[in-house]
Amino acid sequence: MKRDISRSIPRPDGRAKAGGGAAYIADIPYETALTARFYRSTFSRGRVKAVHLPDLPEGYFVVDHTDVPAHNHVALIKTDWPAFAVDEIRYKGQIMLIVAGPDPREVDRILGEITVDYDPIPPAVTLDEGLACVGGAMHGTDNIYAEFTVVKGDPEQAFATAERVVEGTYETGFQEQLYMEPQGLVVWPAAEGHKVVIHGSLQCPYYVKHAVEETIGPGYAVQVIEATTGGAFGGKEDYPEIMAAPLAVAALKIGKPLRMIFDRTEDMAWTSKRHPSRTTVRTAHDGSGRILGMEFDVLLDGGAYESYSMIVLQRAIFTSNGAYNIPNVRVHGRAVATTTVPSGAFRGFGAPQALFALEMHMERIAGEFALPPVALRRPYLLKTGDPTITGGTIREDVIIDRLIDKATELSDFEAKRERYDRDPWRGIGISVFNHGCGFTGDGEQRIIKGVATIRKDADDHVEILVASMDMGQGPQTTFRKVAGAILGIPAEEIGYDNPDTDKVPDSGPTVASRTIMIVGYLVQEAAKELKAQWKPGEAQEVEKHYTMPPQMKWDQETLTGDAYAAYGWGVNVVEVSVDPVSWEPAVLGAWGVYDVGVPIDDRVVAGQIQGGMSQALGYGSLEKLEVDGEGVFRQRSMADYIIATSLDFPRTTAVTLNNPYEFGPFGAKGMGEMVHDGGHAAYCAAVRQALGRECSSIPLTPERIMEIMR
Amino acid sequence: MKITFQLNGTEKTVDVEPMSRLLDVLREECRLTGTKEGCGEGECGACSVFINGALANSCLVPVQQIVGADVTTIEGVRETAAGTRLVESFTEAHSAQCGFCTPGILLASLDLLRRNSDPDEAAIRHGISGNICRCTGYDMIVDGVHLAAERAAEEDGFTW
Repeated sequence: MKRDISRSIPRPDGRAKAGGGAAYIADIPYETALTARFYRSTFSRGRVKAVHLPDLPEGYFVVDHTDVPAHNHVALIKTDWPAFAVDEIRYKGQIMLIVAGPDPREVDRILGEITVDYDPIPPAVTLDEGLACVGGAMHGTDNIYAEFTVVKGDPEQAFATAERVVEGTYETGFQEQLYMEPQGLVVWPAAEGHKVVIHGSLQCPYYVKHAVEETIGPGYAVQVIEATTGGAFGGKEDYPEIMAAPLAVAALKIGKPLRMIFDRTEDMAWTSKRHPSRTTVRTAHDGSGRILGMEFDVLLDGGAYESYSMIVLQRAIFTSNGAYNIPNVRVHGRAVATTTVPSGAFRGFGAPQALFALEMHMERIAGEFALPPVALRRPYLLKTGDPTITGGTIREDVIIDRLIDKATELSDFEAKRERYDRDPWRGIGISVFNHGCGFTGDGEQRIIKGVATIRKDADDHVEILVASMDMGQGPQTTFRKVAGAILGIPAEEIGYDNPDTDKVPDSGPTVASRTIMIVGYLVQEAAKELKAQWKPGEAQEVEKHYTMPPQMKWDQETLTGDAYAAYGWGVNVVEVSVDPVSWEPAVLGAWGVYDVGVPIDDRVVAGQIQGGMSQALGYGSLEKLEVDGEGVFRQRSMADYIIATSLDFPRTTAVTLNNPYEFGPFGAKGMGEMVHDGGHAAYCAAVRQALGRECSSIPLTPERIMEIMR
Repeated sequence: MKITFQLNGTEKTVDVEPMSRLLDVLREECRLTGTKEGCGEGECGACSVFINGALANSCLVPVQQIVGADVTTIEGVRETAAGTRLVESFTEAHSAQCGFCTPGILLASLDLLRRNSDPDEAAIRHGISGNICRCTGYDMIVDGVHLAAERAAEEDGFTW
């Protein structure tokens, strides 16, 4: 059965997408909709004194914070981000107004004639400026959105007895999701002004619903419908709420449908990016190099509003020890407010930053003690029953040693590593990691409370009703396969539409490597129950609610216990050469070996591995995104923010080893994010060997390599 | 300004400003939305169409340049023998994930296969290098083109 479930089927969504028939939000004709655009602050930080509007032609509208029926904020984790700016501006590009009308050119003319009087405040653009509260604190008294410390064992004792201490600082930059379809929503009033409907490109229908409900208040119903979504990678987790809350206000005021489709320029400039990070790692060693303890101090650049910074920081902290059991550890982390576009969700959600620091520090230790990188790592690999840094227990079968064996065998790692110690300008690097599946701690039970429904009609046609959506990662294939395999129905005959909150229960957001493991499990259990009760020719429905796996324990107050119910595990190997004249690195080989439990579809999983590896290699090598003195991104288009083409990286060898997980459908675990967790580190480790110098900052571009070699 | 051109084999006249982007004319005037806007500056290839048989980024083409020209979009390809072959192969090989770039990449692949019906991996990678995909890392797009080429080679008299 397990072999059957993994065998790939043609993608049920493939024909419509390949043939151009799939309807993304910009493809759907809303003939009567007005064009709506944001007026954004033209300065980075200050206090608004007055807003001057031009005379508005008939049929054109301006909407601002005074039009908000209930709460002028966007309810994310926190509520600090205003729907419309009132008097405080914290970043250039902050949303102040909506202008709407029938002719887009006239809307643009009006936008161009709006002026704002303001008192400027010095921006705090960098992490250090944020920490120093340049211009005064933007958030609280210290610009710290969140701060956590986690201690395991006795790190002080470990450092007190150390014969040597190895220290390094590791930095990662902004990263743009660059989903191919820019953000877009259509929002309209319904039910004679008592309801707002939102249709668009988004990952989390119920997040959008809840955020809009809070902004417009309890007097209105809210319906959210997902249109086929052209990629997201986390970038459509928070930003659709940022758009929908003010658009809902505007739709209620104007009484007409509003259409807001970003072009690439607006999308790149003002939507959330991956948090930049700076991490200092210190390890205590005995004379042989054995790791006695570790200190890990991470700073994340959260940007101008908190958004998800607290939970991105938690993920970074809980991932800081990766796949290792290090006996004595102190992890400290802070998320810092700066005068830039608020940082948000991006595949990995803090883990790629933490794992870069951890794995590059492992490379540094290997160098300091002249230990082979794999031999250095093996003694610390987590095993079943080992303690985690949050005082939890690794409960699943751990096969990370076998993943390493497979990856090193496929890539001929050991022989190449030895050879490239002698051959100049060649290198091969490895990274080893895990990624917790689902929400942190008891979040799935305490906050999300996921529900999935399976229904069949009187014709025995079966439909999956969940809020999880397909942004390319495959549930259109995998959910249908799970339900179909249980019920004995071909996958393509199972119904599964883009979610609509008037039709589907709240299964939670499509994030956090939770879709297949958490929601897919509910789909499996609902299908089993439906099968047991099956009455031909009768309409039936089964609903399943999430419950925490029995042994799992978590205390949210103290952040102790099992931070995750289960983990995906991975090993990446990357081989490079570096041109000693141009300093251009070339990736010669890439291998990704993973434990995803059981793949529900081999090609869905391999597609995630190859695509995620390409993004992570881009993150490590190509994707430079910098801010200017006003906190505005210097790279403004696909011409200057460089992502991989088909010629940049070779084929990734993608392999999975089966390791069924008890509480996943057919044994499957989450994997959508961990494919972005290790490629950048393995690439840097390879370049480090090629150069014979430390590489501790990404993106590691030819310019950066030139500086390192200078 | 009235502009007449051949669209997917049928004569079409639109009344638009001469500097309108062909992309917008196709999507808005002709309601052919398989042609996508990914970047609007000729970097991503999501808006690829054939103009007189040559692959072009329709976001960079002022509509006045296509007077009398023969324009073919994904809608004019997907039901042909070659288009069906590519759609089926892409579906089977999982060449599409989010799918937004896929119509453009399908047309670039067809352009390649017309010139080289038996491309190796390097030729395919070169052939689709003007198109950006953020999801797949391109490997399964290469697989999809390979599969289409293999299947076509097994069919007597098939031409791209």
